[in-house]
Amino acid sequence: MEIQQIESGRTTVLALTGRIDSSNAIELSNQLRALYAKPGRLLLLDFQQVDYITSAGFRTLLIGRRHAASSGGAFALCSLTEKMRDLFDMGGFIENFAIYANRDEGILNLV
Amino acid sequence: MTTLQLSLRNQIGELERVNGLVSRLERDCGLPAEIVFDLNVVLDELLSNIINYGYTDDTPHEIGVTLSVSAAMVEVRIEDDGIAFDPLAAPEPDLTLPLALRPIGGLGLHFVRKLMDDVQYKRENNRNILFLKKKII
Repeated sequence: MEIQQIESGRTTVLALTGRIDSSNAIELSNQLRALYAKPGRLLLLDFQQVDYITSAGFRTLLIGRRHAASSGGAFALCSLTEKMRDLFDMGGFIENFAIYANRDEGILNLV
Repeated sequence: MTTLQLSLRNQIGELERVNGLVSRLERDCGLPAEIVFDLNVVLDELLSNIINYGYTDDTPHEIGVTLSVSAAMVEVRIEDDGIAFDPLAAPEPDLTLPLALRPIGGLGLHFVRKLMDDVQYKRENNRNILFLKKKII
């Protein structure tokens, strides 16, 4: 997995590339923790280039959501492929994350 | 029918090699992207379970992974000498519970059962043997 950090106005975008699985989810967890050390962080995870995510990755997303809540920030996802969306649905997560169609829409809505 | 085999050490870094094996099947057999996605998720769930929870000692172990692809089906066989564990016996997670109350374990096996068309387990000679089937549609 590669993580590219892009600042867009008040929003921090993390563009993820590759797979988020049991061997690397910890790297993303560490980065999320570091970013939410700053209160009020608005974070958008862009899934456009993500190949797949496993339960270890979902665990990390739940950690991100929790960090955001406790630091007065926001945590959202965007650009899920249909296949990815199916997996979120299968895991019962669709209702639990703010998910936007694309990056622009995410940046516009994150406040 | 194309069959690829791999013998893994019980280290999480070895999963990279499994990923490589699936990519090879994608390239050589033209596996559809949806099937590749499902296989990658399921193999990560099952193998990381074995590596993280399957052993009670610190000695190296081998995990056998076999992937067979025919026109209509992908078959997976995973064999390990870890503690007896039947993934089919694990309870289904209650996805209607609020997130904060949901136990985080069980999600991976839920994906395995949902994404595969058939999952069979047997314990033989102190080894776990798991057979998975995924129809190619």
